[in-house]
Amino acid sequence: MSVKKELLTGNDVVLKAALLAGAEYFAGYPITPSTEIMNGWAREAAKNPKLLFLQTEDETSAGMAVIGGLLAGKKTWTVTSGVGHILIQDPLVLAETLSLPFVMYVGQRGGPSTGTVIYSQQELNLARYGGNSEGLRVVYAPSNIQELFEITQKAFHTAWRYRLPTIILGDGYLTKTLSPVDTSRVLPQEPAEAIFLNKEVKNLRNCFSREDELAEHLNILFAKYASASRQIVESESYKTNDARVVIFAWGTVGFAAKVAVHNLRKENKRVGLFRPITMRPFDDRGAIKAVKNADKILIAESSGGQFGRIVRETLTQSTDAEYIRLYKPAEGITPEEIEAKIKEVY
Amino acid sequence: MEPRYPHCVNPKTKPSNFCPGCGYGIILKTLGEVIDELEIAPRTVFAVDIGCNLLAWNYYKLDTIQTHHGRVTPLSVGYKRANRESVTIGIAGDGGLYAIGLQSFLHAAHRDDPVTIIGVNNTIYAMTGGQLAPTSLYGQITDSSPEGKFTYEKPVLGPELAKDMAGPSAYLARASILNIPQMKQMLKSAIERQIGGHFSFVEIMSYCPTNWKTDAKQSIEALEKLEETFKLGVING
Amino acid sequence: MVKKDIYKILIAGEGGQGIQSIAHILAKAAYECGHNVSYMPNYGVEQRGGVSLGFIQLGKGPIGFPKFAKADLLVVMCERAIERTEQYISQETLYLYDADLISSIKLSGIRAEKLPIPATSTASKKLDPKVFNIILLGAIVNEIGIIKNKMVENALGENFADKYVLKPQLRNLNLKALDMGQKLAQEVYKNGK
Repeated sequence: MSVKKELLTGNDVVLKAALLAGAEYFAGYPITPSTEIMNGWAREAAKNPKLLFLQTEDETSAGMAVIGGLLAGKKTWTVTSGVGHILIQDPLVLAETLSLPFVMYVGQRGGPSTGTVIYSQQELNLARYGGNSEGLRVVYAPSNIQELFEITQKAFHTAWRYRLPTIILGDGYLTKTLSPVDTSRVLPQEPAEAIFLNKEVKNLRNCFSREDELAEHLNILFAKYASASRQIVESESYKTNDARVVIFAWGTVGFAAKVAVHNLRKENKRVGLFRPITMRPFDDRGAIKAVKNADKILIAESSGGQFGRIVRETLTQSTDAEYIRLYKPAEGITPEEIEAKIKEVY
Repeated sequence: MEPRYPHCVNPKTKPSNFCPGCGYGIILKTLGEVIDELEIAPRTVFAVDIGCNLLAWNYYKLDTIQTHHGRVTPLSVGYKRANRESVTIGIAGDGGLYAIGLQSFLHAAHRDDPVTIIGVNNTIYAMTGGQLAPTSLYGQITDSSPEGKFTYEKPVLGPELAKDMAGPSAYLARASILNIPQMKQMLKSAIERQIGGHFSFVEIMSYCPTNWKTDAKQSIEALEKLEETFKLGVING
Repeated sequence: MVKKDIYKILIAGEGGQGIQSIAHILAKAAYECGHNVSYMPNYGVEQRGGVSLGFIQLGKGPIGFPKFAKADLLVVMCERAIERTEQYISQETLYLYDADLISSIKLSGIRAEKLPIPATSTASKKLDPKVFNIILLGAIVNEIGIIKNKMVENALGENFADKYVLKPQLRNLNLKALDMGQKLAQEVYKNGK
């Protein structure tokens, strides 16, 4: 397969990848910085009668319309951000309890509340456990535009193969940045089938009368999730084998950290990076393995510690390393800043 | 002799869990007859939310989705867009249509989405035990208005409200369980209007003996009185 | 400018001055020259006015993050952007600005090598007021040194394709503006700073 390089923005790439994955129906509501994706889809749908588009009256309705589309067997998806993300978690938990392949792209922006329209990594908790969720969804975190292109396709694949709501958790910087990307890397499409008006009649409920009925339903879901997790979980450990300082970072900050490690290694510093690619399910084992020789762990994120809490909880029995926090809520973190922080202690 | 149910009704889930004397029994059976007579069962999809209608989740041998409060309309709209050949029917109560679901209800009318929404109006939030509804009458005593004191003078009149936002070809009507032939005709017309490509809505006045704390005779009398405020008939189309 | 693996360029001005257009053109041209490139627009919620920023990185090296802490080349096009962009100045930053829109007094606190370009007056007197930002683009291209003029011309053509169809004379106007910008930058060096 020959390389095909194009200069595209994150928004362009999400749209392109979704179409390559077989997306046919988009229901959504505009919110910065994800609106361009919706506009792009509307333009495509105007040209192609096989594509469906609905701008709803709010995000909760959008998510419910997505569920309608999924029941009809169409690969249906949406995009959102910030407070819109909060509202979509409502239909998302319906998808969670019904095991529906609900796919959405989230371009994180500043929070809480309206925050900024720009950037953050503050929607991690919301993506992983938003709504009254038990976290039975998949959350992917691309770290650069190439990964965004491949992961967006993979999200549709995962959602439809394992019947799990799947979120592509990007951010406003990634979405708006123009960079080169190789668009020849296309995944084969996962087949879609209608749930309603197909084979046997189905009566789907999300409300149970008795505690034990719900418990039984949940136990089935938990078992399915655990089994699927083994296939889905993904992370990157970069130069962690002999690392004395291990950086934990994700998304675009994860890529900045990788460049920082690359630079510090040129100065012979034993630094490594653990970067989760799936934030749910989380690669606990990979994280524990990455810190086996570490005496310091640097957690870098554009939030007040949402990722840090996951890291510390995961590693609680597995390390005596000292934690260093580089928390910059709603602000970006450059490779230089990470390098400088490490040089303070090493 | 066995009571005869419409074919599309699921006999295995009977008797249903509705309260004795609930209007839903009449409504759902009548709707079932209409579905049978129009021969649309193989392409009908049914949506309910978490009002008392949630108990209808397995009432029919029809693909049914029970969704969140107020989201019957957007889910039905979303589904219908992806399957134009289907007949999509959503049922919701006063809260699901006129409170939390009002926005979606009006926008579906505004977009002329070809779905059929059935609104069961008993002027109270029954599933949660009897709170104030947008359709409660001025001075009505409910759990959340124990002295009958609240701000609005007029109840929400659903079909009339939708008329302003709906397209000219929408079907908007109000029926009552006290007049089953008229209700049946309206349900039929509504579904036919959906098949013709337009938004259709039937509000059905119903009683709730459990929360109204009325016996059979009182329930009927109270409902007859309500029909003075909520006038039966075709409002549009 | 000192040779670098990656050049970090920050363009700042008022919404409406065409900052994002020239940033986009610069990024495209660099890409067509075979460089690695990243361009990210950055602004707040106002639909009009407000300071608009364009972060561009280009060159042979890897690009770690779409935003950066210090700019190699800072291009300032309005007075409101002076304060907004102070944090991006380091000892090595080259401070390029429109000398007609920004008085040097306002820059007295700026500790950086300055490159004043009379883009607005030159555009008004010799070309067309609209192309002052293309003049600045010319100066930028001159300073970076690794972007071929041909690629910039192509990128201009792509960006303004619709406008060129309606007004074909715009193409030449833009090319003249680009050329003028480069000459103005070179003159500053000739005259000593």
